[in-house]
Amino acid sequence: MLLARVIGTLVATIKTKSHENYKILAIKPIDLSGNFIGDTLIALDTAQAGIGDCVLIMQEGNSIRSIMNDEEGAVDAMIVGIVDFIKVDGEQRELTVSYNRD
Amino acid sequence: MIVLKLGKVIGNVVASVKDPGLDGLRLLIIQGLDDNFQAIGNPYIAADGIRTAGPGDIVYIVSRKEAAVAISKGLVPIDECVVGFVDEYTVVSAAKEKVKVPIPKVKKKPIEKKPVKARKPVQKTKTPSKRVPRPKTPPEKRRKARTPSTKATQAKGD
Repeated sequence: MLLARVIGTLVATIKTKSHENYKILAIKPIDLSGNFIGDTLIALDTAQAGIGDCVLIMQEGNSIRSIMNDEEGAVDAMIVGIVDFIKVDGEQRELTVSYNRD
Repeated sequence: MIVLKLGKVIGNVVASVKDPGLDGLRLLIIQGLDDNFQAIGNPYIAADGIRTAGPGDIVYIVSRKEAAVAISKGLVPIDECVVGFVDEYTVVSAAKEKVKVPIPKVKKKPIEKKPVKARKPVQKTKTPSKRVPRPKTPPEKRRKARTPSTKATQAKGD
């Protein structure tokens, strides 16, 4: 499981069968104070997340297949939740930001 | 840690002798791309899961075990697989900057020189030997004690 922020969208019409009917988003991992760490990755969305949301990422293929109810689901990152806030050392932090759309 | 990722098809691979699991698969050369469509990393080979990708196309790729699952032909020996053709990719400009992970600087500690203790010269003193001198036995008794061993007799016989 990973904390990340949604930074963009991807549109694909020609894709594998298992990815059909899913929203595809570009995400970037963040640390506990909201700074980006690491490179952009692409994830399927089951939580209806939008740009700027802090989300919970699952990277385990078998767990994703069980969520999708598809034996042939070929996904290695999936958004499984939207994070409202986190609490670190008793301090409440909201990691969701609002981006100005270009 | 890059998983589902963007890439550009820059060529393909033809191999006539290969694992039977790879038969009928198209192999593409992929250059990884970042959010600004600039090349990152070295090109790599991926199987074509959508069967339509060609050179110049921007695609997205699934890697590791999920690559093998993407091709519904049982488990095939591949590492990366093209799973979709990118029509449109938009990223918020605020998040486009490359993340610079600071490398922690390690301060070198000056090596403290420990004062070397002068060795004390070892005084060589003659110690009286602890060997106890054998009691002298008369030569007649010695002969009796030395019975001829079996080995010695064998050697003599040979």
